Amino acid sequence: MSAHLDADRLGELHDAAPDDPRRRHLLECARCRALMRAHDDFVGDLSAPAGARLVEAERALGAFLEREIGHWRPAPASARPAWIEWLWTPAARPAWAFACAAVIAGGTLLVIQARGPSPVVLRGAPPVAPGSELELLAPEFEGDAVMLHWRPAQEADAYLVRFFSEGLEEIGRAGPTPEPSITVRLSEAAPGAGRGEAVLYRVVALARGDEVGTSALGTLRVR
Amino acid sequence: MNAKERAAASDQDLVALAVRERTSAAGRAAASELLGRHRGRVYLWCHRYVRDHEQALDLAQEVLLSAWRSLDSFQGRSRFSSWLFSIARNRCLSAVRAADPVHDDAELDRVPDRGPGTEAVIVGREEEQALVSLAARHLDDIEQEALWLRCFERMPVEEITRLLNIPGASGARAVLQSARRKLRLALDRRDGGET
Repeated sequence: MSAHLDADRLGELHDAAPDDPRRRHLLECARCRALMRAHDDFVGDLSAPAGARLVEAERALGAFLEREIGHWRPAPASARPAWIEWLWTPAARPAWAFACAAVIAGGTLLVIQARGPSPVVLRGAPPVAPGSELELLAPEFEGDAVMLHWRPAQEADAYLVRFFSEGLEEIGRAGPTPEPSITVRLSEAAPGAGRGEAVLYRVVALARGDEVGTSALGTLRVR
Repeated sequence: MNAKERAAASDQDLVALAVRERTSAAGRAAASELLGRHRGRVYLWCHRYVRDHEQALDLAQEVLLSAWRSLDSFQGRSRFSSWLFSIARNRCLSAVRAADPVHDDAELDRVPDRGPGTEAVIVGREEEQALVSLAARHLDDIEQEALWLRCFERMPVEEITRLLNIPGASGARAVLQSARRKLRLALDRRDGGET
């Protein structure tokens, strides 16, 4: 009898030639047929066994992948690009001085603006500059639906709303939408949240799929 | 590759990017997208073995992390999901073997029969090749496959019933009982020098 099939190469058999010896082996060997059935079951549409909580699991595993793999960790200092290294040399002191002055001036301007009367901004308000933090506007509740809106970003062609639990695990998304507002039912957009629980949300501005701005976290209470 | 392009990319393209730029943000994002696509099936597969949500989640995390760490060993000869299957299968088998090293199926042993669970006896007494030969001579196709799934894939009986599409209320349990009777008879005859 020929050698048993490799578990990690079973997928090849579907495309193998009719006279491939592995096909003949499969006909003769119950062990490999059983393994092939298990493989086909795995790569096909697996149904949820009793007790499985797929939606919850997908959410938890998504957060796990984001935490373990998706986060970019800065490279060690030795691998920094040369222009970053240059920032720490004496030659960069004038640049630092200029940058500090700009930050102080900008901060002063912000403080002055913040002390003035804050205008009521609704949809259609002038867009914020690219790269800025998106400003969330007060949500409006209508029955069990909530309308979220925010000031549009100049470069953005779409917006995505991400919902988080209080533990900051992502529990749902809404959009993308080209409008600076979206109406959602929290029971659908954030299905894990129970009545009375707080749901956090953040709006992400996208331009051709790239993130160009985000909002601070907003809070909603599930009604 | 931006988020939209990643979502539209094939598994093979994501593997290539994730391996080529393993330490970069783009490589990590590709790996995250790739494994994220398969996280549901990995969880469901693990749940079939351990039949507990929390344990299945832990196991699925181990599978996904193991897949990410060994991504550069994926040679692209078959589908990514096939490669992932072998990792999930090995991890689940290790988990159930660790939890149940003797593997004496108590439920099957309720069937009137002599001695300990047949699977344990078979695995203990026979070399794998000899078992293939014995089973091929004495069992029909479904009995053989059910036995392999139970003995060597450690699959729960309910899952074997579903996978082999076995009708009837007792499903794979009846098939396995039939297989064990036939094999015990064959073993007894062989040990008694009758074959």
